[in-house]
Amino acid sequence: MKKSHKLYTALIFLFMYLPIFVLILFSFNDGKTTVWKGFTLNWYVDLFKDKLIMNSLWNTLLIAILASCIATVLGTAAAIGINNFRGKKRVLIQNVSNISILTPDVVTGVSLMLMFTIAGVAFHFQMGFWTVLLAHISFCTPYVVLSVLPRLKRMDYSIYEAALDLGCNQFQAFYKVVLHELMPGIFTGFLMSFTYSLDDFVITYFTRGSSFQTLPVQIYTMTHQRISPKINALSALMFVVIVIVMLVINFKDKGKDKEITKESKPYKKYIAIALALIIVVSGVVSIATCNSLDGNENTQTDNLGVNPLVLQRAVEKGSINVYNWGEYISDGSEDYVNVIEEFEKTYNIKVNYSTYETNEQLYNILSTTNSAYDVVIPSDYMVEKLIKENLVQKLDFSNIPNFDGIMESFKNLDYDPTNEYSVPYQWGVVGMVYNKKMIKNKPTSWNDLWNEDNKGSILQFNNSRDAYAIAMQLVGVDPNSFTKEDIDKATEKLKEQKPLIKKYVMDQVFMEMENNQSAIAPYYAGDIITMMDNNPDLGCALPKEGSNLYVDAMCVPTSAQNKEGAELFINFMTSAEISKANTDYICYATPVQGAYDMLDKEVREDKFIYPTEEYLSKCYTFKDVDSQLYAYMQEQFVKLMS
Amino acid sequence: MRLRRPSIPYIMWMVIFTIIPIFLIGFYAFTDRNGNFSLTAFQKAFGYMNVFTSSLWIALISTVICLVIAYPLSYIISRQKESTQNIITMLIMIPMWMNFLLRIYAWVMLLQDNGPIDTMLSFLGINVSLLHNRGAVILGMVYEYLPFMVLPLYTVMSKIDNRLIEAAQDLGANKGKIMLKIIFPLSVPGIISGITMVFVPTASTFLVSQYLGGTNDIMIGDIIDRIFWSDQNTGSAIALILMVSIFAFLVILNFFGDEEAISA
Repeated sequence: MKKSHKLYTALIFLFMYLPIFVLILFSFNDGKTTVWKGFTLNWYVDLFKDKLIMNSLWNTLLIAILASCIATVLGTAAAIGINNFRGKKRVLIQNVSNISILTPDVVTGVSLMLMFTIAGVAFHFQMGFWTVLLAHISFCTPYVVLSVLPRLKRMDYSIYEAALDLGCNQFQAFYKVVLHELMPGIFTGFLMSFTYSLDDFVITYFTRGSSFQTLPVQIYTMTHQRISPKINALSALMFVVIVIVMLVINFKDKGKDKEITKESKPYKKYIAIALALIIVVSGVVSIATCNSLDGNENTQTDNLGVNPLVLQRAVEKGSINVYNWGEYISDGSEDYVNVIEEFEKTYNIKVNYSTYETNEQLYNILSTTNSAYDVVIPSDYMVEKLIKENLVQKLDFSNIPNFDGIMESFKNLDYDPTNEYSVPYQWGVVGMVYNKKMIKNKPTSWNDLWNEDNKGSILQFNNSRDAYAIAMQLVGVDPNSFTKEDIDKATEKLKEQKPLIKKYVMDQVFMEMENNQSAIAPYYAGDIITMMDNNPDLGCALPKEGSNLYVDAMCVPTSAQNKEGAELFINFMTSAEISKANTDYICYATPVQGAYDMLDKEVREDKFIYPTEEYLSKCYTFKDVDSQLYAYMQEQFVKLMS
Repeated sequence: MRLRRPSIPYIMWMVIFTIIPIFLIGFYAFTDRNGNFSLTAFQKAFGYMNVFTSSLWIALISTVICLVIAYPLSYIISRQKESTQNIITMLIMIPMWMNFLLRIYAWVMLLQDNGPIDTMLSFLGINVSLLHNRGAVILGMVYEYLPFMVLPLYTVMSKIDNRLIEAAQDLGANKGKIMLKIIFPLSVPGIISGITMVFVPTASTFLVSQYLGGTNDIMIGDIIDRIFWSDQNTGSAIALILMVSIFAFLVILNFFGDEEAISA
């Protein structure tokens, strides 16, 4: 290679691998942020304990293997058939096949989602594993067809006839001669399918329904809080596995007989890569899952403060399905309590835990399908909507004795005035985080987010309801009861702000503020506390206008299968120790008096996390908004950004 | 062996999972919430015209940059001995196995103010904001989809017979002429399939601009994602327009090459 050629190639590889090395580097970072805090291997240990990630990894592999195998069979058969068509019919079939390759992922995803939704209503099923599998087979098969067809075209039919002449029956001739000739094409198709299926995010995202999680979707869910370094650790491991497998194969190749024809080589290589990967990763997954399920046997059923009859019924019904926000429960990493494991140990009831990103997603699931969730944790306005539409059921509070420990101010809230349906889980207010080095005077009002002095370093919510609430407060509109005209007024206010804004953010706010990239942002108080822990230059402030008080509450959907188990779970989550554990982990505020009393004095007296009664009286909790009005607001918000 | 029957399951599959869903998009695009015929969805969709044009523009620029970077690289690879070729193509494929969102995240870390690249540049006296602008979005796109340009180009170029080049040299052609008269014409199918494989995903992708772009860089994929959950009709109309404009682009593109190019 010429020097200039070498330099060019090296530069491109630098470009391609730099981000990957950054990823791997941060899997060793002793801290959750993107600031280097020292070396640790803890994330690798925690990774294998994380059931959610392990479960998604398993799902991803399962879907990829099944989809690519089925697609390979379907596509090969199709190619053989298509090859025998002539003229217009053949062109038509091939064109349709190419259309599904050339259709953008978003369009494929959206269109399949429409169909599965309609079919789901007609045939009573919900999106999940099967719909994702069908979708993956659909986008993988055309690639198989595409890689097998050229081989068929080149194949000499006389060898098939020769095989027949030499005494093969049709099946043997096909199996021994034709298939053998097609093998390289078939395996290229298989590998392409496997690769695409493994890394697909968009189509899975639209067709997965609620509970089914693959790794790319799981990572997306995490971006709503922040991506856990466990994922970096997993990527690093995958990277190492891939590189080792590739190196081994290349090394072996060199020692091989040179007589092997060019044709047969690549596909053997691909089989080896694929198989080795599958074996290694599924081995790791199964070991990990086995470990995490161990030690589930010993249980003491006495003295748990619950009615033994209820417990017995709950245990008989088996597991419970819990559906929660991403990163919204203490998960056992970094010496925090593993709440789910504790529950499973104490009651001997298995918890199937899955996560969602938005209240709207939760609503879609509960309203359109017969989901089997036993516990869901929607926010205030969504609780109201779910009660209104009869999607959650009344709780038997005799099974939730810990409800007595809930602070009086968090009982009978507006969204559930008689408090029959919900038990509050965590709460907080929306506040402002600012960088003391960039802003000299502590902000006091939402107007500081419109301050010309901070032009170019202000962040705003990338979420219509939150962004509009702030604007509405400033233009004197009640964020809970408004008309189209009020929305327009708020839109004007937001338009005024746009030139001053650096970016509309959700999770990126962590990186922006912790790494001193931006000066000021509105966000949820608990998360602001986390940011301040990671960057001493940050300060927090509450706007004098009052703010949004949000409460996330635990409910039991009408379609729950194990209501007793759900109530045990809610009771467990409401106990002082567990609520404190969760509060420590999430940094939001607890509504449980006992948990509050156990907190450090400085936390309890922090007027930002636990504002004064006087300030809380100026706050509002979101109420349910008419869906047409909400769609209008959403539309105006997207327009604003475009 | 002259059977057509084996293709029947696939044909049925395509009808159910490709054709019907596309018709559904069409149906939703031309109706309103209650299922009555209506053009309001299109009216609303055309309200995002500026996003359409900017997305297609970003896709076009990213594709051109990918082509410019990938063409010499593919040529260099294709002229190596076979074992080297294998190693290099593998190295190009490996990043495709890593999750795309994570790689974008890594770029955010690299490009942020006072991040490694910014620090290096300001050391050289260059002070520009690297993140949250259109340039960063294009960089992200080029990064994500470069392998999709390299692989088809390389496949086509590795099939070019060295003897052709030698013959041209014998006949007195200089390097430029060889490039222009032999290598370029023979690589056209690879160029076309590379452009296709980069342009389609870049024009429709979402999330990339959310992480790397500023307040004005939202792309049409993001709009579909946001609108679709609350208004499926407008979402469908946007998806339909996107699909049609991409197909139009591909038809024009294929006008320049032979129709088999996609399968190269």
